[in-house]
Amino acid sequence: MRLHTSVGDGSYGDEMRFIATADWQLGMTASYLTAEARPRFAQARLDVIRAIGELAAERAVDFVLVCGDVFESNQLDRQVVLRAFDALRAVAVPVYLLPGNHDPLDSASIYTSATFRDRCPDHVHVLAEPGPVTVLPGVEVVAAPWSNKAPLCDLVARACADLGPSDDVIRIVAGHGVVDTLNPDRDSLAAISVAALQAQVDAGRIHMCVLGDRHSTTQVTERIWYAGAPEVTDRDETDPGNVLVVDIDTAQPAARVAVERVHVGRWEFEVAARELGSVEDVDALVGWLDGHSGKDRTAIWLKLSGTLSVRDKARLDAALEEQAEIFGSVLIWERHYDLSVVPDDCDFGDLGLTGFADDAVRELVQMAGCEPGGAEAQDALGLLYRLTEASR
Amino acid sequence: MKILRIRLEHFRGITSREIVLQPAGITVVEGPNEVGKSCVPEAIGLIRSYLDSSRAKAVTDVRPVGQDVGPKVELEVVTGPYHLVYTKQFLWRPSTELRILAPRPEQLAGREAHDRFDTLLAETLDPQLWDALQVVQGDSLRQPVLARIEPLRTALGATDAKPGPGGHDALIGRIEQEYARYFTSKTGKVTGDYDATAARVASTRQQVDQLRARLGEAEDRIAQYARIEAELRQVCAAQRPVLRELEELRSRRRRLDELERAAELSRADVERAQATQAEAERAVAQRGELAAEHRRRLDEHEQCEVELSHLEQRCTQQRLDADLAASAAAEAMTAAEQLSARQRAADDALASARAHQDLRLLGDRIGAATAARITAAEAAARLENNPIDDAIVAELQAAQTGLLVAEAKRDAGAPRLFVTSLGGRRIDVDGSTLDADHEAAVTSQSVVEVPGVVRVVVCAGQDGHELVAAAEACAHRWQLLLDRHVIGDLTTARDAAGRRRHDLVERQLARRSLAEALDGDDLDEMRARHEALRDRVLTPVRRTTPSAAASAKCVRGAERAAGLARDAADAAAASAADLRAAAEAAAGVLMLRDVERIKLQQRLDGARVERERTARALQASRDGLSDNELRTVVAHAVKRLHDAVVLHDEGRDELSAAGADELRIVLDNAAAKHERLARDTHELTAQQHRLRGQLDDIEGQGLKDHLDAAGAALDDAERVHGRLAQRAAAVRLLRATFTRHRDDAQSRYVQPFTQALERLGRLVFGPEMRVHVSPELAIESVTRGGVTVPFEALSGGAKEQLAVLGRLACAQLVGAGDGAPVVLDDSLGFADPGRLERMAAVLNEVGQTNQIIVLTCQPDRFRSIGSAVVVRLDAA
Ligand SMILES: [Mn+2]
Repeated sequence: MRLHTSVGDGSYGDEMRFIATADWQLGMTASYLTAEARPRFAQARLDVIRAIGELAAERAVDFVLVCGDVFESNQLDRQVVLRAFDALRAVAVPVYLLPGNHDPLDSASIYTSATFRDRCPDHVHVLAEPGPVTVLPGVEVVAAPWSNKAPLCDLVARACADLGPSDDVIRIVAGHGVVDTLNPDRDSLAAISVAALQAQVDAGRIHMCVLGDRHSTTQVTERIWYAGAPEVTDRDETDPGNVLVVDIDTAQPAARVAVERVHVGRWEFEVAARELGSVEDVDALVGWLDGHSGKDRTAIWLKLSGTLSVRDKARLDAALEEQAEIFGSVLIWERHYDLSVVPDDCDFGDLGLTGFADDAVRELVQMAGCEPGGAEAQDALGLLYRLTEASR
Repeated sequence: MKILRIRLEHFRGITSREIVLQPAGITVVEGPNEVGKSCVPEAIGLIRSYLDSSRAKAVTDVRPVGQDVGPKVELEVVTGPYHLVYTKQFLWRPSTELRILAPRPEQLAGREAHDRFDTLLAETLDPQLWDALQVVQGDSLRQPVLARIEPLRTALGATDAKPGPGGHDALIGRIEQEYARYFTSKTGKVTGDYDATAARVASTRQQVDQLRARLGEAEDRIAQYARIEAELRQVCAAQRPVLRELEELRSRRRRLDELERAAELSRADVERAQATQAEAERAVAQRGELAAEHRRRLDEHEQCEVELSHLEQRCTQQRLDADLAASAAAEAMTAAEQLSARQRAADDALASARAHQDLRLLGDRIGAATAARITAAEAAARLENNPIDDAIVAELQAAQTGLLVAEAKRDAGAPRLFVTSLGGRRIDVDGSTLDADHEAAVTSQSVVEVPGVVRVVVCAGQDGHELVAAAEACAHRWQLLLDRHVIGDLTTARDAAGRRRHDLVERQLARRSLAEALDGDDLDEMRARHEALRDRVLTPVRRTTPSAAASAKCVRGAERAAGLARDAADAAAASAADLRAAAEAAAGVLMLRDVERIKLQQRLDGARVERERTARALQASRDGLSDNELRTVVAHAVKRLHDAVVLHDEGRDELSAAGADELRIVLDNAAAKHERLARDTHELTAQQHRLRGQLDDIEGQGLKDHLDAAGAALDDAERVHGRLAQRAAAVRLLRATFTRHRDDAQSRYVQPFTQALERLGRLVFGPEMRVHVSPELAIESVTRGGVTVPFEALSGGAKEQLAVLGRLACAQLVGAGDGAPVVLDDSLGFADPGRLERMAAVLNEVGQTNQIIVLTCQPDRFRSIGSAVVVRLDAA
């Protein structure tokens, strides 16, 4: 056990420090990304382990605790495990892995697979048994591993059930799953009871509780935290990409815990809503996109609304198509799409369409304003615009 | 455009020739094929299309053979506002010259002239119209393509302002091109990338589904494994109490087994005692049976002896009866034999009497027959000698009558000569001396002579001679008949005939008598029989035959005697037979009695043997165990059985008190429970192993990776396909909308074209003629007299005429200003004279406003076009 010097409140004492993280989701595939961006995204999930290793060295932590969903699934190719071990070798301190709902300790668990058993580095440990494990002299991790995908009880409460007084021991609970205060499904059997956990904290039997499952870093109570995913996985996450650096005073563990969130992730998922009404709006959107740095690690969902002329819509389509090639992905969120195309006089007026061609365009324009078939007519007009562009 | 003049030099067969064409109206250019009436369009084509420097085949083809000269074409036209003279010489000293005469005079040469001419034409002449209005030689049946001719469309559609060269066709073309990227143009089937991405979506989705199913399967197995683990734990826990219970029940079972064994032993004891008792009782019964049988045998023997003595008495009596009957029968037999001998003697006597009678009768019949035969023979002999019968007599009669008649006639006709002697003188008449008066008829001549006195000759006349001759003939015949039958006269003949009849009767009678006497027999045979009978019947001593009556009497007596004797003999024989039958019956009864007696004797012998056998057996049995001893044994066995039964009942009561049934049920249940749990454990373990193997198999396969990768690929494919689908829908809608509007517009301008065409057509085909025109301005069908015929099914003549009419209507609609000349090269060859006449009228009509150039090698064909100007091309 290394000793750290806390400078926070001026008092001096021995401190224990570890990195709390969760939901690495190794082996996850992001189908919404372009085919070229997907391998980069997968690589980023391994790279972030190395970043954690660097952080661990930089902050001289004692160990790294990963609270569940280390792997996206138990049914992964062995190369995912091998690459994970390769990245984990960059972490110099012990690493404790807790099986979560994605990688439970069931009969097909990745943790019991031959590859894992044979190739697991010595400093990497699986928290396979519920209950306390001494990870350092005077430091216990109370593990609440998942043994299948649908537990019928509060695993954390069960792991803590037989805990005695924490004489001279720092107890850190490692759990995974949704807490009942945040769970919309109040009747869920497996929900973690915050009250029970907090009672343990209050009783001084545990000093810190790190949870996995929620990918956004979240503080539930003073000492109950969701570490969050170190690399973003979904557009609806509010604060992903962090790990927690946790300091606990070994002398007075009940007195004070310092939790710091450190951003380690490199990918950005953004959702942008825009109302477009003119060519200027289109240009502004394109400019905003252009202004992004790290486009190749950014995925964008656009919620578009408003009204554009055929000409402006064609301009928008062309620009988005181009940006989509550069970004991790630029996607129009279909569910939130409410952009109409209304041809104006400029669109086809200068084509010199007469007679039947003029009649046909008039009919399409009329259709474009009605449902159903409006979108299709708008597309047809867009196409006509494109086909006649050459002769302008 | 109007062509005013064409000048050709060294062009095919033409050395130099200028053709002046009517600017409005009809010019008929006549000339044989080889001279080249087709030179006119050919020259226009060359001068428009080829540079003067060209050595294209089309150019070299027109050079006169073997001459070192260059074909030269000069063309004077008015097109739009321009009036031009355009000259080109090819191949030899090539040159191009363009003189613009109006609106502003200008002169150009070389390439510049060529290009300027092109520009001016493009500006003022629609090339499709030019092509459409030309009927190329040999292609006159095809309809012109009119729908895309802008001047025509302009003329037809008031709504379409002129959209410039190419117009919307270019746009439609681009839409079609875009459409073809997604759909086939004919059937609108999905094609190209659009089709490929749809296929990719489907195949990727299938892959995803498969992987998802496999992953689901894996999840199921994992869940199942967990379930089995839990179950195994439960089963193990359940097994322990069951084992304890089973152990306890089994020790109870062992105690019970001992009781059952004891009960089994006592039951065997009872069975043995039962067997012993049964054995003793069987011995008693046997002894009783033996004694009874012995008594039965004694009785039987005694009865046999009594029966035998009775039977022997009856046999003796019977034998006496039989002997008596036999002697009576013998006596009767002797008496019957005597009577029989007597009967035979009487029969002999009767036979002898009958033989005598037969002999007598036979002799009589022989005598009668012999006499009858003699009488018949005598009559026959007489008949032989006297052939004169009634027929002959009749013939003689007739002859005699004829003679007498002839003589009477002679005599009546002849002079009658009466001579009467008056004196005494001798008078000779015909040489005979008359002694009395003579009267005779003179048949020939008679000479009456008184010798010495007179001779009178009387001569018969001529008639007298003939009658004399007839009489002589009759006399002659008469004489002949008499001679033939050797007869003197008719009377004799009659007598002879009478005798003959008598003889015939006599012979008849004699024959009948003979037949009666013979009575069918042969006389000789009768005689032989008579001889034999006589020898047999008559004793040598008495060879006389008795009289018939005597013999008949004798026979009757003998018959009577024989009858009596036979009756007596028959009665005696019957009596003897009866007696013999009685004797035989008595003998039969005796024999039966004897057989009966012998059988009874045998029975008696058998009964004696049996009696002795049973006596011996009874004795032997009693020697073994006396009757008293036997009774003691039985009483002992009964006692033992009773004791054993009591013992056995006690054991059984004890066993049922131990509750064997209940124990068995409980034990069976416990054992089954144990077995089931063991089986469950075994099965669960096996299942666990199997699942373990399956899970090991999928470990590290990366099912989830693959599923995610496939899902991502599906997303990609769906995104791409969705984009294409959106574009495809867009182009489909665009195309459909444009095509629909174009077709509508076209059908709007079909109307005036149809009217113009029908106006001209009715001049040729009659007032009822109707045409149906497609939006492409092609004639689809023609209706005449209520019958509609598709264009393709029309006759060659009608097709050709309609094709020309279409061009003329087009030319007329476009009008002179924007128009082009109608060129008919060797056209209307299919028309009959009537049609030709009417086509000529149409051409004349259209020629009022349009330039029409007719090229033909058959000048007669177009002779009837009123206003035509004829230009004749001759061989150079
Ligand atoms: Mn998770």
